[in-house]
Amino acid sequence: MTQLWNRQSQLFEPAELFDRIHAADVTCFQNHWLPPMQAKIDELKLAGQYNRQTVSQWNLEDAHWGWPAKFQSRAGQLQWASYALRCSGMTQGLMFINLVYRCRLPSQLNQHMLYVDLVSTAPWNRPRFTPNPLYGGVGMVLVTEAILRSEDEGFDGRVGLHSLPGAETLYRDKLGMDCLGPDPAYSGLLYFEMTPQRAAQLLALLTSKTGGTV
Amino acid sequence: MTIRNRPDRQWYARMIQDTLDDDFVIGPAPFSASKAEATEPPLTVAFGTLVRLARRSKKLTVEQLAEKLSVDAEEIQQIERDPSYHARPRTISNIARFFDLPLTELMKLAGAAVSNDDVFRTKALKFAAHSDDMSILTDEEQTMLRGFIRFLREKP
Repeated sequence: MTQLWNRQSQLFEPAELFDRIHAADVTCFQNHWLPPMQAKIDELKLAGQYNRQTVSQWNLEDAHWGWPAKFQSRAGQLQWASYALRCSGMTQGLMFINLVYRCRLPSQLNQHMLYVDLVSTAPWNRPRFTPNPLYGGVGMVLVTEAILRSEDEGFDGRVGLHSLPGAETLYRDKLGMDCLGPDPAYSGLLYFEMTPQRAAQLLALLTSKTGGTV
Repeated sequence: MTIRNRPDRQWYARMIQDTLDDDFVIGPAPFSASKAEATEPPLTVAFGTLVRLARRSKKLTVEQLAEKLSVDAEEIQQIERDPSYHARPRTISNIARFFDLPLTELMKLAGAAVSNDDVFRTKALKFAAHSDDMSILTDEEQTMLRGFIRFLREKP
């Protein structure tokens, strides 16, 4: 078990992290995530304002990612792993990771790492999408899980990811990942890596001596 | 999933509060003209891993293996460490003979032949993702190495 911050009640609520996206999560995505996102996209299109800037402004970047298709195509591939975070009976977050990438950071060059491919939170949790977002912490729980999985896999906490523009300061400044600059092979998005040292520092931060299991 | 020590609730609470208003979203950008998938590593990563583990399973140093294959130690080092390095066909052939591996499959792994087989690619990359640099193979590594070699040998 883990927890999410309910912004409305101002209390933490128990949440459950599953180490695989299940059919129920895909159904939740299709029935509950997609309709409000699609409605906003239709609204933007109708107003002639459907462009990169407004999509980013409304936090709708992931509307075109096709989670259900990815869920299908990646289900039988050993290199992929997925996670679903549920709270109050709904899927609150989804993540895909890949286990076969190698580090690009000079100090870690060619070392095994975990690559975070996709992370999304439900539309009702997004501050820019909805005036009263519900849960906070979905991204933090999922990205932390990626670091822990990296340790489990023997990759020493090495994690790589491409950040969308709105998330760059978080990964660079708050999580302390190394930025390797824009990646021309991936839409020019900034590419980040976490070193084993940084992962250890981050996970040790405020951790009790005994640790715990969530 | 492995149960392991992880940060406690206090850690999560603090981190969640510190990042409450931050975006975490990760994935391809919308309206992107370029390919929206991160580039996967080449199969040579698995070739390097296979050579390294097979060498260690025979308790050989890089220099000893190079001598047995009649190649430079530097070439073995590059095969094991640098996925961008393409081994010479003669070296691949010597490796196949020495470790009793199927040459056709090894050529694909080494990047000297094309493979459009997704299952082969997935198994090879997954194999490459699970090894470390310990001097003695662990039981898990031995099992993994044997399993992957069996898979290569059983390819039709």
